[in-house]
Amino acid sequence: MAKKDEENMKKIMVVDNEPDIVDLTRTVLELGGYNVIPSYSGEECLRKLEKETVDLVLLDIMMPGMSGWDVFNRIKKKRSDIKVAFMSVLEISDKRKQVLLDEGLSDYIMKPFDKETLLKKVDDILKD
Amino acid sequence: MKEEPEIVKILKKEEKLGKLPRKSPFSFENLQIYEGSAGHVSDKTTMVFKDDFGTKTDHDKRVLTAFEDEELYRTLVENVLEGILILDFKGNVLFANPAVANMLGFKSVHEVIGKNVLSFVDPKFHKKVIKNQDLVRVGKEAFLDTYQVTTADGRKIWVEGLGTKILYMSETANVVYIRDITERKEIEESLRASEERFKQLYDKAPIPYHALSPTGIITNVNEKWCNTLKYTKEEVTGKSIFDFVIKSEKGLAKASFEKKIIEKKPYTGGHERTYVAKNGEERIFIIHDYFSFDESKNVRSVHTTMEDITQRRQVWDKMVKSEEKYRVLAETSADGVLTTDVLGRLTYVNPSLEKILGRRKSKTLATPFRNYLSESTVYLFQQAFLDVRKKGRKMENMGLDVIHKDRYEIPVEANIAPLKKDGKFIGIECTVRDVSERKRIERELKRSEKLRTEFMNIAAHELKSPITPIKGYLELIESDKNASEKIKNWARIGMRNAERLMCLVNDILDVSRLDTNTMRFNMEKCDLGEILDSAIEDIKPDIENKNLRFIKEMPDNLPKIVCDNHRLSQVLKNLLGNAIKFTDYGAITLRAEEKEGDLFIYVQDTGIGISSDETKKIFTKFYQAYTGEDRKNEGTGLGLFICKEIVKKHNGEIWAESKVGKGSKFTIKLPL
Repeated sequence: MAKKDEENMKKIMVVDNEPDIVDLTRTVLELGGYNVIPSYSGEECLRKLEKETVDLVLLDIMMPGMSGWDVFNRIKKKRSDIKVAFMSVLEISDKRKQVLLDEGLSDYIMKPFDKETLLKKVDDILKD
Repeated sequence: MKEEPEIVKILKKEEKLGKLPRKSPFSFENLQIYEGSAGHVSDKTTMVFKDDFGTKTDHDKRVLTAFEDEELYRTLVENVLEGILILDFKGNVLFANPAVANMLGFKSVHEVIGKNVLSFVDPKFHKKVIKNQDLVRVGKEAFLDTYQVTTADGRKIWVEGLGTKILYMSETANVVYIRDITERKEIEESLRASEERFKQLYDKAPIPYHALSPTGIITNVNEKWCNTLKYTKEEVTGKSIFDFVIKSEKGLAKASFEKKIIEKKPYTGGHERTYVAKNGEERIFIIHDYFSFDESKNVRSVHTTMEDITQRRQVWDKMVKSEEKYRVLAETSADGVLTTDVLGRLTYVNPSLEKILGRRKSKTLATPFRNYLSESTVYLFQQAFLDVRKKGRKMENMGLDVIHKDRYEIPVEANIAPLKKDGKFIGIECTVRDVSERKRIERELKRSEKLRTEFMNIAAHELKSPITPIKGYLELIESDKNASEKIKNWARIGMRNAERLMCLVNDILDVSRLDTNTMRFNMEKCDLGEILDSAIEDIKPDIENKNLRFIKEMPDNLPKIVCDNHRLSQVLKNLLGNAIKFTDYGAITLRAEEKEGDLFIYVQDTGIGISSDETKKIFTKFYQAYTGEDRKNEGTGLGLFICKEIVKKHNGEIWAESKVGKGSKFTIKLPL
């Protein structure tokens, strides 16, 4: 693992109602040198974002309670500085994807993902 | 020459003295023939010449008497309008009065006298003239006859002549009184012609006609009458018309006829009467009676024209019956049925409509139907009503909302048709179907479709979600430097099967989506090259792993196609994946071309091939071709089914050609 100053490490919030997926994602991202804040629901995510600043939110879509769509819209309304990427098993059309990108989404990552792909995508998002 | 009689001598003397007022046609030479003779010239005038002129002593007096008589008769003869001819029995004219000359177109009687009468008379009538002369000669009764005569100025005239025997100049002669009857003859002729025309007209008229005496005796019938009632003219003439009237109407017919005779109206008509034809067939007529009257205003004859309405009546009866049938149909129809007048006011409402409206027809009749329509659809109905009225055609499947008495709206489907009478718009006929149940089902269907889509999404999520951590952790083990090679190998096996599971889940989801018609297609104009490239990108590692050659043949100028690029790419990946899977040596070829307006994509391999009877079965769900015992059946047996369905959704076709041991060729044909 690359030695990075805790302060300089980029913070990523992973939001999924499945703890196993949150853990897996966290493991992969930490291997990639990121600081991960886990969150297990949309509501929790928004609550935490009021206190903490993150660089990126990796957001599952189909969750009980608030869906990923709702969370995305809230963040974009209140905290447009925070980058958001969906991570979902839902296949969406290119058209729909383009609309989301236009609305400020950073990327749409398909699950299941492999380690390399996930890290590459996250790196790309946080590069700019 | 014998000595002149005394009277002639006197008259000659008188003439010389200028005592005779005017010149007499009776020349004094001719006068001698009167001596001792007497006769009558016509029925009306008897000219008597006394043969006894008396003794010479009262000679003068007698002469004067004779002279006065002579003067009178001469005036009469000369001025009478009738022509007077005296002929000998050879037909020579011995005497003619000025009327004859005038009639025959001569300037004076002298031109007539001495000529033979046959020279005037038309040759056709010569025989008749001669015959009549002979009759007069033998003293038969005088009689009237007509002859055609050619006048001096070439006109053809008709004359009527009455001949009789007289004594003229001591010999019997034929005196003929003639009259010009040309005008009368012409009138008669034209009358006859017009009568003939009329007779023909009514005889050949296309409607039956009969003439009756005031007592109802048939005096004439025309051909159509005979044809219609199957009698001959002879069979019916002289019989009572009432013999032919149907029994049930006989009394009434007779009474009404008698009443009409007394009423003395010139025309009565329009009433129905049934007659019985000879063959027993009953024919219904509308009869029109025209009455002609004599001088004392009594009915002389009755002329009847008849309109045969038997067929019309039959059609009418049928119509009434069928109308009855339709009425029953309307009354029992499950759909609402209504009719309106020109203004859209209800004129008929069936029980079903009463139910839909929740109102008795006694409350709705004569009120406008639009009163029972929702605000949002009343305009639509009004528009339709006007259209139906104007264009006279039907309007079908109009969606309207009817307002029930309890204020709720009922969606209905209405068909509107114009009601016409004698070609004139008199309102509309409308059927109203309560579609609330159908609407409810439609709503439910839509909801269930939405539910189904939702379910598929949830199912996809729930099935795929666990695979994410499985694959993820196996991957982590594979790349963990602390893990032993043995453990890493186990992780690789786990990984391979997780991937298979993932494929299976994807395939099953696709099939379910196709089955439930919830697979979404995003049809866009796409560049085929890009689609092929994305598919190639995916399978490249596998080709390289197996050391196969890959050939791509595609012209640069292929037109863009409308498709879902992901789905089409999925199809190609599947075909290429299969090709790689079943090919151990040789090449995989991906080729595209445009041919006759279609786009063809070929995926060809040099693999193990499929038997020809299996090339069709492989596209069915869960079918897996037998590929030899040494080859493990991997895959779900769903891939080609999904391919076929996706291609179908693009209005295309997919098929396979193959030879065992030589390889297979899959073709996709897509319309451009």
